This record gives sequence, structure tokens and C-alpha cells, in this order.
Amino acid sequence: MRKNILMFSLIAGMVALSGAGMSVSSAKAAATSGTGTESCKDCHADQVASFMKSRHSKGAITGPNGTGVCLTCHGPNLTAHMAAGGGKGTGAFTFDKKADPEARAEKCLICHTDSKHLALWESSKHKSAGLSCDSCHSGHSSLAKNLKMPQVELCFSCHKDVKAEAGRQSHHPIKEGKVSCSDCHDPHGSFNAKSLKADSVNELCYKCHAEKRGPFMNEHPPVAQDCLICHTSHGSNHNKLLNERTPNLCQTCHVGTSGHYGTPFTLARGFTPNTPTTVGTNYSSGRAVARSCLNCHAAIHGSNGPGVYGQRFAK
Amino acid sequence: MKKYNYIPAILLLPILCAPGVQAADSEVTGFVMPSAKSVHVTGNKAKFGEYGDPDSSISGGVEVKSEGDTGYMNFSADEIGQDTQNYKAEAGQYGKFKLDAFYNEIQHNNTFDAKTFYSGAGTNQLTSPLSNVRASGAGTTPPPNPATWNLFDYEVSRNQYGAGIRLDMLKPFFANLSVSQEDRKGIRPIGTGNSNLAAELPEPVDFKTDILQTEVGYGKDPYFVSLGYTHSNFKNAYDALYFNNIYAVAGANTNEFVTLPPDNSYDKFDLKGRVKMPLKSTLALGYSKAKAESDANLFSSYNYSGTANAVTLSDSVFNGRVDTTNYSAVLTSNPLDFLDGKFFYKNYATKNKSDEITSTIGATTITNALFDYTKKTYGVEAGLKLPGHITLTPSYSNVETVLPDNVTTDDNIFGINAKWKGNDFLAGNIGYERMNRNDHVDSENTGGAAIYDTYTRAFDVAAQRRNIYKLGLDVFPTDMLNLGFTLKHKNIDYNETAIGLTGQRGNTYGASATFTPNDTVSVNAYVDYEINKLEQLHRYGATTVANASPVDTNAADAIYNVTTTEKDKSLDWGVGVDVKAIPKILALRAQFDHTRSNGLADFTYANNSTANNAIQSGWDNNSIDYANWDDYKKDSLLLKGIYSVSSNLDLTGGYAYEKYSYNDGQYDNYANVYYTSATTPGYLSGANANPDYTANVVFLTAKYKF
Repeated sequence: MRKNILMFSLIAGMVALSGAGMSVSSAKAAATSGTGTESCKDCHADQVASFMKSRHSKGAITGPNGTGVCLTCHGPNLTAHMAAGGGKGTGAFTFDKKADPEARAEKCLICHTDSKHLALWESSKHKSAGLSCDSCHSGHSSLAKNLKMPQVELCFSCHKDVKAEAGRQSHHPIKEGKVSCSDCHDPHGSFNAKSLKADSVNELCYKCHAEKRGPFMNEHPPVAQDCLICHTSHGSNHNKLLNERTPNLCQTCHVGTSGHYGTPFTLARGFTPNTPTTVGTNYSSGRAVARSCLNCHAAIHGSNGPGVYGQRFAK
Repeated sequence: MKKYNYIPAILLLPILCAPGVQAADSEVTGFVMPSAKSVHVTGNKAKFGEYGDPDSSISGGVEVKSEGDTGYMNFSADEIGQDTQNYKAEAGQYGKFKLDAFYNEIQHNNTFDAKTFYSGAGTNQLTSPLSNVRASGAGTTPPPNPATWNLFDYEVSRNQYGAGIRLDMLKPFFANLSVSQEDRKGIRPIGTGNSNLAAELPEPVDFKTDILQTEVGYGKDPYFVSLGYTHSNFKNAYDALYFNNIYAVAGANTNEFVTLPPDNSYDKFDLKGRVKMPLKSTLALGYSKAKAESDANLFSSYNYSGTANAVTLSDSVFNGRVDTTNYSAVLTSNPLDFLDGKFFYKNYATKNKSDEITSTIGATTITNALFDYTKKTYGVEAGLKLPGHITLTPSYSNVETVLPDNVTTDDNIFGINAKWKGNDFLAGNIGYERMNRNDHVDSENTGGAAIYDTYTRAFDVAAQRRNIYKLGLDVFPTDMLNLGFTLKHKNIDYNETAIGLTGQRGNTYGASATFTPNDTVSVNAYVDYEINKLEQLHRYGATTVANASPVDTNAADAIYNVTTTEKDKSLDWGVGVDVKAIPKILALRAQFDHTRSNGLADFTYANNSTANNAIQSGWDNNSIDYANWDDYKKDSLLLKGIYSVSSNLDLTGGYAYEKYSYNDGQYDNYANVYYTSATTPGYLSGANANPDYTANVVFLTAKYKF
């Protein structure tokens, strides 16, 4: 731990040194001059103030041919807008949610059309749903990626079902801020279902859970095929983000005549009839207490163990 | 496999890029934010702080931003000194390059003060002086007393660090490179039932994962093309967890093991491109090729209850290799103002090239089965803009999955969605999706005799008919009030499964409201309610074609059906109030959230008697149900005030309360030693047991901005 902190301090120090030549002077004067903000702030003081905190206000970032920033996004008829004394419908382009999403997006694409992040935007679900850049971003935002609000909060504002799932007792640390939506999904589109950032669910999961990747001598087929056959991604009422409580989850595939497969592991087979002080004739089943099937099938994600014990993921 | 050490690269990156970061003008802003919290937890501290640091502490955050007209250099740190601390530094010049470095800790606490009779928790060798342990019997050792066991914590820490560089200075060409490493250490529960000893054991976690990612490309309308490469290398310090079987009589052959995940590596090349064409059309193509490899030394012998078993292997080393190939194509077109179209195709295939190992143990010979599969997807989606602010989106897709043993599924998915942008006070959408899955299963045989194949299906390859209905409504009666309503209904029939999972039903209801009567007060509230039901049928005791049919002609005999219905009800609701008590000076916030789940597992034996061993003595169809099935309830309260002392200094103070209770039939009367027979105890270490807690937290933060 200490070593890690030292290492990071070294990195951070180097980054700091690398920028030592940056002089500390106001950039705002440069940003305001020639960009139109001076003219606009008389009526739009709050908007100009928020804009000046954003990365878009930096001098090196201008519209085509050095166009002033207000004009780039809210033009091209700002002259008419000012001549009319301001007001809606007097020439200024506003990012009103009733405006055509494509028209709103076009304003952003003046500068961002070549962005690699937008390469697959045309095929994205968000575009199909009628979203535009300003649905999530604001040119005036000072947050990372110019998002309108912190990412998870932003995504949850529409995906309320996911918000509910992420609050379940077993969940990925999304609301704790350790996993963000864009770790797994690309909001600007991908070739994959659910806009996943990987060619398959498993490829995505293995980025963080590399120990599950194998390949194992004894593969558990649903594990090797799709983690979501057993798990859910955002949150679950059941431990380990399982879709269903074990042993019933296992018995959705392992169906049979007797023994493990055909036996219903009811309350009569749990701890209840067999507390330490009242050992009775109905003994517990290891399959109906605590982690149930996983009490024995330890290597459920795959095993290199010998013989039938390896085949059954118990060794 | 070749191992890489990325640390030097991480350290070098900032140096290499330092000269370019120089910027002419910059402004330094940021904040320093010391904070203190006092935490009092009654009950399970690990569950309370599952992904956090559950102890009282003094911590804080720092942010320094130096941003100029042409470049920037930022540093931020959060939760300094905590188990969850993170640091990030980035620097660059707009439109030219960016470099960044990070350090991040993720903590996952499971159970503190778990216990085991073994010594050596945290290592891969567990030892106990006990032998010949039985619950009773002359000359045997009694089960160990949990009061004397050794304590340890189930927790895993992930320490991640890395750096990256992005180059845009040669636009329209671009390049990215990032490297990262994660060290994961801790203990997690693992079971063992491979011998006659059933015990929950502490598995040591000592993983290291290195990842390198790079991408080069070209992006200038109408073209985009990129080539990416990813390398991931996973290393586990332990190949197996060893322990001595305390059931065995003292002497040789008592040391047993459970194998642990092997070292592996992953390499992937990824090529994608897109071209914009006439008629507002785009064509995007993707191709990737990946290879996952592992190697493991196989065990040529193992012990079972004090007896050594020799394994004759066709190869002493298992070389695992799975190749993956993926093709993707998406064509979109917007030829008319009212029409959008999308056609897509994807072919994802894995090819398992791992070793086939033949193992002979006594008279038994086993060869591992290699699993691979192919999944082909194609489909079309149209967006029709209709009069009246209505967008209609019909869609169709087909998914064909080919698995080993000639098992295939073929999904035909039809959908239609209508979105109405409505007017100033109302907007809505309604959708329907139907999936017809047909299966082809020559020999599924997931454990029963082959005669069962007529009736059984593993649910993931079973034919099904799925209907999903969705409805959403947004209402804005006034500028002050926003209301949202959602409804979802899901219904799945596994129409060819007689024994197994036969059906799934689900309903989800949601409502939310935001009321902002003025600039001072804002109130929000939400409620979500979800019901899910799963229906299963099992048939016990069938051994012949004649009695395999679930159409039970003699429900009272020793061959009978058992149905299981599981219900999960989830309820979440919350209400929050934000008040700007003194504008720009004092802001107050109160938020209360409640979440709960109520589960039920309802078992019904067709043979409702204790005859023929159907139901255990003293039980019946009503008393065998689990009325508590992963039930839990959590109440959270947050009271917070932010006082702006000056334009530079904010003080935040508050109080948080959380109460969590869990109730599950499989954990009721939890015992570290439980009995599976009159003589054979099993052993649990306490993982996930008794997670209830009540927590009170008082916190104070000062944020000084500069």
C-alpha cells in the first residue's frame, strides 16, 4: 500500500513538473475577447458565467475559422437576435428540447463530427430513441466530458429500472462510484447489444474478473457462454448478483430423476430441523444451507481438477 | 507465457510528454477538502461498508486545476487515506495530446470475524491437528468447537494503477495507449465437497492483472477507421488451496486440495471502420480476432478420505486456448425525412483449441469436453416519423446460437415501439416485444437418463415464447411539477419444457415526481415495485420411459412431481427535500430511502405424504415452504447542510442513518457446525451470515476553494 502511494506520488509529481512552465495568468480575458461573450453577458450573465468555467471557453477551442464560441452554438443569426433586443424566436438557436434532435446535434458536430467517439453514433440506440448531444452534455458544463450532471446520476435519470436494480442488496459498486455506466456501455453506440464495450458479455466481464477467463480443462458451459445466464449485471436480491436463489438457480438446468437434480431442497432440509442443540432425524442438507450447491461445487466457473471431481467443479 | 511489467512505462509516460504540456496562459483553481466522519455500527460492519471504509476517520479530497488557453494540467484525489482512496492526474494540450495517470482502490468487504478450525487462513495451506472427526463413536475425535476457532476477515482489496496517452496532434490521425495493473488481495469463501468432508474454507486471493490497450486510427468525414490491440495478463499466486481432511484417520494421504483459477493471457486485435454515404447513410464494419490462453500443471494423484488415488494423464500440463472471431456490420440510412432504417449483422464464434486430456483413475477413464459456440445475429429496425409527433419503431431480429452436441436455439424477435412527444404537458411511449425461441436438442441429458430428454430442458437452451410490454408516461402539469410513470410486464412460457423451468412472469411499476414550487424548495419522490415469479416442475424417482412422463398417473407412489414457485417482490421508495434556506449561503437537504425484498419459495409435492419418502416426517406441503427467501429491508436517512462561509469556503455537516436487516430460510439458525447425518458434521465459516446492521454516521467537511 505504502509502496503504491509512493509510486503514485512519483507519477503525480512528474506530471506536476511537466507543467511547470505553465504561467499563471487569467485566460478569461482572451476567451471573452472576440468570442461574443462580452455582448451576450449583459442579458445572459449566468449562462456566460457557467460557460467561462467550462473547457469550451478556452482560447484554443473555437468554432470553424475561429468563430466566436457563442456564435458557433447559438448562431448564425445573433445579430438579428441582438437587433430585436433579444427574446425567443429572434434568431438565436436554443437547445430547446422541442427542437429537432438532429438540428441540435448538428451544432455540436460542427466541431466534433470527426470524433472517434461518434464513429458509431448513427447506429446507436440513443440516436434511435431521439436523443441528441445536449440530452446528456452541455457546452456550459464544467464537469468531465461536459456532462450535465455526474454520469451515474445522468444515466439513472432515464434508466430508472437500472437505478432500482443498482440499489438491491447485491450490486456492483455503481452508486458507490467505483463502477460507472461507461465502464461497460458506450452511450455513443457500438456493434453490440446493449451498447456493450465488448464483443460479448463474457469478454466485458473478464476485464475486471480475469480469473474467470480460463480456459479451463473442465468448462461449465453456461459460464463459458454468457455470464448473464446465471448473473445479472446491475444488482440483485440474491447474493453474488445471481438471477435466482441457489439451489433453484442450478436446478433450472440440472433437472433429473433423483439425488441432487430431482430433489426439492425445502425448508425441511435446511438448518431448521437440525439446530446444534436439537439433532433430529431430519438432518440438514449441505445443498439447502448457506451457499447451498456452492458449498461443495467450489470451482463452479471452471476447474482443472482431476477426475469426476474436476468435472463436477468440486475440486 | 511472457510476463510484462508496466510500471516503468507508467512512470515514463509523463516524462516523455512533459515538454508538450507547456501552456502559455493558465489559471489555477481547485479546492482542498478535509473531512471527518464518526461511524457507529451495531451489527455487521462488513455489510455496512461492503464497498467502502466502515471506520471513523479523517480523510479528504484535493483538486488542482491549471487550465490555460492551449493546455491544462489537473490533479485530484478523493477519500485520501481510506480503503477507497483514488488519485488522478492528467495533462495535455487541447486538440494535441492528453496524458493521464491514476491510482484507485476498491474494497469489497464480505464478512469480518469469520472463523475456521484451520490455521493458515490467507495462505494456500490450511492445517488442523484433528483427525478421524465424527459426531459420535468410540475412538473418534469430536467436532471442533467453533468458540475455539481462528478468526479472519473475508475481504478483497483491488489496487489499480495505470497511465495513458492520447495523441491528436496529427489529426485526422489519432493514437491512444494505456497501461494498467490491478493487484487483488484478500480472502473469499470457497467450498469443498470433493471428499466426504464438507467445509467452507478461506480461499487466498492474490491476483495480478496487467492490461495494455492501444489504438491507432484515422477520422475525417466521411471516413473513420481504427485498429486496436489489447493484451491482458492474469496471474494467480496460488494454483490450489490445500487442506488436511479431518475426517480421515491420522497418517498419510490426508492432504487434499481445491484447484484455483490458473494464470491466463488474452490478446485481441480489433479493426473497425465507418463510411458515410449518400442518402444520409452510413456503413460501419467491425472485425476482431482474440485468443485466450492458460496453462496449468495437472494433478497426477489426489487423496480421498485418507486413500491415495493415482491419475494417469495423457498430458501432465493442460494448455488452454480459445480463439474468438467476431464480424459486425451496421448499415443505417435516412433517405427520407420521415424514415430511418438500420440493418445489422453480427457473427461471434469461439473455437476451443484447448488440450483434450484423458484421465484414467482406476477403471474410470474421462476426457474433458471442449466447449465452444457460435452466435449469429441479424436484424432490421425502422424509425417512422408520423404526424402528431409520433415516432413508430418496428424491428425484427434473429439470433441463432449453435452449441456443442448439436444443440441450437433460433430466436425470432419482433418489436414495435411508439413514442409520442406529445405537447407541453404530456409525452409517452409504448412498446411490445415478442420472442419465439425454437430449440433443437438432440441429447441435452443434463443429468437425468436419456429418456428424460423428451421432457427436460436446461432453461438457457429451452424453447420459449416471450412477451414484453412497456409503457411510459411523462406528465408536466405545470412548470413546477414533473411526473413520470412506467410499467413493464414480462411473460415467458417454456413451451417445450415439461420438467425444469416452465415459466417466468414479471411486473414492474414505477412512479417519480419532482416538485419545484420556487427557487428555494425542491421536493422529489419515487417508488418502484417489481414482482418476479419463476415456475419449476421436478419429477422425482423416474427411471424408465414409462414413468418419466410428468403426466402423473399415480401421485401417491414413489415417483411423483414437485412444483416450485418462487416469488420475488421488490419495493423501493424515497423522498427528498432540498431547501435553499438562505440563498447562496445555506442549503439543506433531507433524503429518505427505503428498499426491501420479500421472497417466497413455495414447494408442492404431488405426493403430499411422508410415505415413499416424499415429505420428511413432521412436515407437509405448507410447512416446507421458505417464506423468507432472500428477504431484506434497508432504511437510509441523510440530513445534510451546506453553509457557505465565504466565496472560498463551504462547510458541510450532516448525519446519516442506515438500518439493514436480512432474513433467509437457508441461514435461519445458522450454525458453524451442522449435521448432514448422525455422525457427519459439515463446517461453515460464517460467510454471508448475519449481515444485519444499524449504522449512525456524523460527518463534517470543509471545502476551501481557490
